[in-house]
This record gives sequence, structure tokens and C-alpha cells, in this order.
Amino acid sequence: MEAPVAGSVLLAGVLIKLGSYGIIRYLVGLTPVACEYFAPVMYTLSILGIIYASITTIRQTDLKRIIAYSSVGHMGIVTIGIFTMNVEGIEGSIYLQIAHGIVSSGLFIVVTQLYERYHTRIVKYYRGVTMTMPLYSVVFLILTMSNIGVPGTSNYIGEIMAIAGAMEENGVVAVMAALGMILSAAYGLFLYNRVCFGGISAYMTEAPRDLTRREMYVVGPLAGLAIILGI
Amino acid sequence: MLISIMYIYKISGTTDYETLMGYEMEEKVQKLVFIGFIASLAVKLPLYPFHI
Repeated sequence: MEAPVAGSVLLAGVLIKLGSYGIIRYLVGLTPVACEYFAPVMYTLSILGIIYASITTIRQTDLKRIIAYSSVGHMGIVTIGIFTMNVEGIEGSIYLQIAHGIVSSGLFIVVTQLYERYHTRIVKYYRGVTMTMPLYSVVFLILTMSNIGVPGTSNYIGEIMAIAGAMEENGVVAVMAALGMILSAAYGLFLYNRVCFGGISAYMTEAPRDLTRREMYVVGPLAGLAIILGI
Repeated sequence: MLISIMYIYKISGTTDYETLMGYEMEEKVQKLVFIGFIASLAVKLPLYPFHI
């Protein structure tokens, strides 16, 4: 959790995807019979991971920790999509990986921009960021909505395709994966609501400044891609 | 994962991916190779018991 922002972005954006790349490339390619055989075990572990990680995320109070824990839940949906072994499932999980790489990296950068201004990552410290930093709030809203999987953003397409693939194989798995999406809405809206809405927090004494041009060039393309990929 | 790859090399005589695509493994061997691969990939892809 004390990793610098570049480390977190690399880990969330690229390194996590190497695991699912390995599964798609090696296991589905070389051992298809064993994939069919072990699919129920992987479904169970993924569903446990989705629900457990999402519930753990809800009770975190550290901004960066919330985003880091949320990727465990999303990668559970990716694993379910791969082990359905049909076109919708695998295609959806690949799309979800691309979307998650963009959105999760963007959220890490956005949280770090808030950290650079106020030097803390505790959620309770922040309130009413919309009043002082409107541009920042818009980018944060787009990325949070995309992380939740609201229709019209990039994660929605991946998740709906992975869940549609799971529905073909096993209805219960699809319903459980959809439960993970509801829980992700819980922590996503919780995070955005506490940080951005309400009156200005008494602890935010430093003079407010919105995103500079340099910071906008960093997060703007990521927020734009999250919407373009979703349409 | 490395042990699985070494085992694939031992039984098939190659580690070339394109050649291995045409190589049909026995079901029992496939399951062993799967377990070896998933043990390392599950850590990278944070799957539930290995996510810490």
C-alpha cells in the first residue's frame, strides 16, 4: 500500500493481467480437457473471491486500499469469463481486462493527485471536494462509474459479456457474479460520496487548487478512453 | 509452473508452443499440468485463497 503511484499503476494495469493471459494462452490452449474438469473449482474460488473481496473493500478507510482491493473482485469476474470456455465469456473477459487496466490505473492516479494536495489517504478526512475542485470531481466520477460498471462505460461491456457467457454454462454462477457487481456499486458510490459530496471538510485547510493542465493531460485520456470503449 | 513445463518437455520432447498445439496429452497428464500452472497463475491473478 505504500508503493509509489507508478508501481501501483503498473501492477494494476499490466502485471495482474499476466495471470489471466497465462490462463488463456497456456491452460485453455494446451489443456482444454482439464479446464473443463476443473471449471467448477475455479468458479467457486472466483465467486468466493468476488464476494469476500467486495465486502472487505466496503470496510476499508484508505483511498488507495479501496481501489487496490476492488481489483481482486474484478479479476474474479475475469476468471469466471475465461473458464466458461465459450466465445462470449473469453471475449468479455479480455475486454474487461483492457477496461480494468485503464480504469484502475486512472483511479490510482486520481487518488494520488488528492494525496499530493492534502498528504493523507484516509476517507474520513475528505468531504466536499466538488466545491473546490470541479474538474477533478468530473474525472473522478467518470472513473468511479466505469469501475462500478454503469452502462455506457467500458467495464460494463466486459462484465455483461462475461456474465452472459456464464449464464450459458451455469445460472447460479452468473447470479453470484452479478452480486459482485452490486457490491462493487456499494463501495464505489460509498467512496465517491464520502470524498466528493457534502460540505467542505474542516480538515482541508490548505488552499484548494483544481487540476493543473499537466495533471489533466494525465487523467483526461484515461477518462475519455473509459467512455469511448464503452460506446 | 516450471515443473509443469519441464514435465511437458519430458513427455513430448519440445517446448515450442506451435508444435505443442498439435500434441494431444492424456487426460491425467493434462490435470497434473493444469494444477502446476494454476498454482503460479493464481498468485499473479489474485484468486481468492492467494490474494494477499
